[in-house]
Amino acid sequence: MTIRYALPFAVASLFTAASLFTACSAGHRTVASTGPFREASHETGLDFQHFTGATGDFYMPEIVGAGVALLDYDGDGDLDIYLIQGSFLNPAKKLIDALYPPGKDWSGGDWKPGNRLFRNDLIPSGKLHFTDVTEQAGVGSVGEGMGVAVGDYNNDGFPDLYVTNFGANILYRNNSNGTFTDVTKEAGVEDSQWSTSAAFCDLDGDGRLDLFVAHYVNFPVVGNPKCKNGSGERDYCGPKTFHPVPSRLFHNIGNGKFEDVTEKAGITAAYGAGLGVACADFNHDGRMDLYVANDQNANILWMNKGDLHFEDQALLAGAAYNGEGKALSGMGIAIGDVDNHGSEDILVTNLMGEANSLFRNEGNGFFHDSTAEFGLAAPSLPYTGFGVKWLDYDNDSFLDLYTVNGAVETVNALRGKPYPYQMKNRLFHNDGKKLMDVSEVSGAALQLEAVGRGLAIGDLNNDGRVDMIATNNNGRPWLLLNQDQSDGHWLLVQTEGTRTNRMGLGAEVAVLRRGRKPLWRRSQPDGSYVSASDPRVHFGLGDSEKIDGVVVRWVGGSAEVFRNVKTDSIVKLREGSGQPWHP
Amino acid sequence: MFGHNGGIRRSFVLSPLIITALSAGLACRRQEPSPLPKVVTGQFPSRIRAQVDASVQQATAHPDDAGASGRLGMVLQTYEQLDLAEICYRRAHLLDPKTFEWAYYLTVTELIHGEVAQAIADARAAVRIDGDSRPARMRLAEALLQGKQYGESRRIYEALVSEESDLAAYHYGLGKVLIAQGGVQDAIAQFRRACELSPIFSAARYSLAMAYRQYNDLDQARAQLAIYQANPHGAPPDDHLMAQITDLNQGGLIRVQAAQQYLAQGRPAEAAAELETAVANDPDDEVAHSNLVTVYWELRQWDKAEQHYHIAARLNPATSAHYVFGLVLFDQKRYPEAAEAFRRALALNPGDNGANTQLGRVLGFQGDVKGAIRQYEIALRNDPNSRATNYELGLALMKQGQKQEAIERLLKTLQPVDGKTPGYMRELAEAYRKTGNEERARYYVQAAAALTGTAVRTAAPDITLQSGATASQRP
Repeated sequence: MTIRYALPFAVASLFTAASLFTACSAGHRTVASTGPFREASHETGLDFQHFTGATGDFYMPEIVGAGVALLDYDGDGDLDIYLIQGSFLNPAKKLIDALYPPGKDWSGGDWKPGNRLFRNDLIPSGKLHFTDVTEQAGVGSVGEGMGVAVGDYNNDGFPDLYVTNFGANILYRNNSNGTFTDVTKEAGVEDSQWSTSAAFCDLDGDGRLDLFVAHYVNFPVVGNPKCKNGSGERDYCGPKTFHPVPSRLFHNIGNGKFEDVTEKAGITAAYGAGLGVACADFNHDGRMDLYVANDQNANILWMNKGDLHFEDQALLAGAAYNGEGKALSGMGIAIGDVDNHGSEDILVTNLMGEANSLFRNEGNGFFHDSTAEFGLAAPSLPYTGFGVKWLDYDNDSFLDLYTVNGAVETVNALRGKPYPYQMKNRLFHNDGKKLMDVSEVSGAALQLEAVGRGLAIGDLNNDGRVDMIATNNNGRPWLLLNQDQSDGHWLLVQTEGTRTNRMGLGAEVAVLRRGRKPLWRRSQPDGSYVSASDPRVHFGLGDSEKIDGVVVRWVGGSAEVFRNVKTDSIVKLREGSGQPWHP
Repeated sequence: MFGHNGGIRRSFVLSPLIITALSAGLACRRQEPSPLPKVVTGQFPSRIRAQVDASVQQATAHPDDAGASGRLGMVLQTYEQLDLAEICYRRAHLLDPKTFEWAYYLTVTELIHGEVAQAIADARAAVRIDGDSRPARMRLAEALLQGKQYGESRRIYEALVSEESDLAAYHYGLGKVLIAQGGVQDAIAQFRRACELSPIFSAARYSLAMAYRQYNDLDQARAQLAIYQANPHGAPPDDHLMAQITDLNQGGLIRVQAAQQYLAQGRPAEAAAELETAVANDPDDEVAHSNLVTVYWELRQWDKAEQHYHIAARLNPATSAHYVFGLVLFDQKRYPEAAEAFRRALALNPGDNGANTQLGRVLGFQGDVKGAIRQYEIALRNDPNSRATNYELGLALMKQGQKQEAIERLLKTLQPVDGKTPGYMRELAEAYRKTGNEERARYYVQAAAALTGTAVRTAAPDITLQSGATASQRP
């Protein structure tokens, strides 16, 4: 070989070899240093540490909570945050007995027990920052908190809170002056069963929000069994060790009062260990239905038959079990039209080894387990999923997916570590044809590990991009600010009912685009896991700079169209101020 | 373009490139085995810890011994440490690519973890080693199905069905591929065959129901779902390779699970044998002792039930055995002691439906009907659909002369329709007769007669074993 060929040969050889060796080490991927989300809890003043109350007795409630709510409690146009806190189950215990006392990695000063409300200072300061206003607001209840639902049950224009606990639940009425009052007893919504997710939903179309509360199991603190995992170690019990308890339905009868209609409505006809709840109109009959995710029991699809009567049709509908007829460990629920086919699909998060379940709505009230078909089965197998939401994070008009993960029994790889339940959350991008797990190329925020539980989504800084709050059991919440640089157009719609419920919850909203199918979404703060999201309806519009109008189909059936709506803005659409709309 | 000499020179230049590329490629396939996983056994029960530690020592002492790595993987898998087991299987397979078991077990764990591409590759390797292995071919077909390679998956399933047409799992697998390809009618035929071959195969039964629904035959869909609901956990047995892993398990939980299966099949003696093995392995296994109380209650062997109860209570004063021991005493008509046992259970869990109901029964037998009704009403707060509680409350209300309320309660015992329903219907008929409603009485007598099934212990509580299991353990 002459020297003339030697150099190119050497370079080519090295290049070829290097390429092949790189291909060999397929386990190494380059993680983008930036991604669509940035964790910003510290910088925005969101100082909160969840406390499980664990003292080594493995009380099941310790591992189940807790949730978060996004709500504009003071009506100033930006989203505030309400975080749920845990506590000791044994009232004789003190902080010194805690296995994981708050304080480690706690930089917020003295730790305060109880739930916390953080006011968003964006308006009027222009800066995203949160201030703890719990004491002034009067919403710092102390207990083994689970979750929270948000709804303006008295239609006074200010959102109220229903807090679920292992123990007595609390209804906080918003007094419209920055304070709340506990009106649980007066309103008739007392409930001391172990409650998890709850949802405000107008189930009888009378313009008032009713309240559905999921119950979990009959767990005895005194008689707490000693459960063991597959390796024989003591660990948290699963739901099958206990007996499930029926959910509860409270009918809003006006004047700030509710009536327990659980049995009358047929809700005791079926029950399991309820963890997730979501409202939607699954069969397009104008009535809001309910879906309950149950842990190791069949999920329940409460179809609204009118007159506040419900029938569980999950079995024949194909939404009770996975495609193999197995009851999975249903935790969180995400409702959304994943492929814009005109009907709302149901995604349920499950236990590690089970895969999440995507029940695609066939449009007639029947569902088909399409998890594998949409590429969601294999990527979810290694994770135990909780909070979950569909969101268009890159404003390309297709609903993406974010799942919050965290184990409920020891993760093998973490055995021997102090809190061996940590997992990563996952982000799936939807390009209109399929969903791809893009977590490994989505920056540092998707590489964080914790014991994930709740998830609420909403536009925290009103910039048209959907942000997220993910809660972590025994940890700080993550404020995931959307910093995606895609230039898709967007629209944020706030519905205001006049004949229907004041917040317009449950209203279906569609963006009309010339030459394209309408893009339908719903005002849906419920779903996910023990959390409440921004009730405003977000649309990613892709390259649609102009739209023909916005349709709102209010709960109860009437529909209006609003013209001259500009994209890249936040609009409030008031019932009665549009034009009647007929498709 | 080049002359002959140029061609030779080019091939002289190219050859080293090809050699380099080939070497790199071979090195790629010949991956170095990753280190053995770190196995932490500090909190394991001593018997399991000894077993796992011994396997770890063997694998550590012989790092190039594929068998040692593989056997460690099997031990880890039997104790549900699947991610660590996969690492061991991968080591074993790389160290010894010719041994079938490592490729096979590696495929199984990869499928469980959703690593479809790897599972396909390793299943192919297993089939290359042993082309006759039907379990390996089935795993490959399953992996291909998950990887949406329907054509090849279907060919393999079709071949399996042709070779061994009486194995339900092959028909079921073929049905799944056909559904994925849109062949609903053909899929129905395969699912039907799977159900005929294995009537307890719940996954096949459910898939059949959903296929009928897709085919718009809702009546058949409902019929199949009704059969499915009668036995939602049935599955054909695992292959012998997986059974080798199960056989390694020395923990109590697997014995409880086996006992549960035996009980579900109406074989309490075998259930007792499993649990006796569990306590022989670990005399301090409170869950096994507690479950033995249940099984010996089923077998009506009172002395043994009592013996295991006292052990369970000594090991754990908060044992769940208080309740079933109450049943043991009740059946011997030792009512005051039975009441005491149920009260101990209620002290631990005041909302417990079973203990409240049975305490109510005891009070009823002691003549305190009002007290009994009170207990039944407490029991129903947490479990309003409990047939046993509604039944007992119905009878108690009849005794109190509250006939209409009694009938409302007895009406709640009619669902689900199963072997117990005729008995409940006859009781309801009797209640209607006492209210003078002969028409309804006749209706339910005839309905009871029309349903197949023998008279059963209508007052018997539904009883299941306590698994003491975490979330990932399944019945």
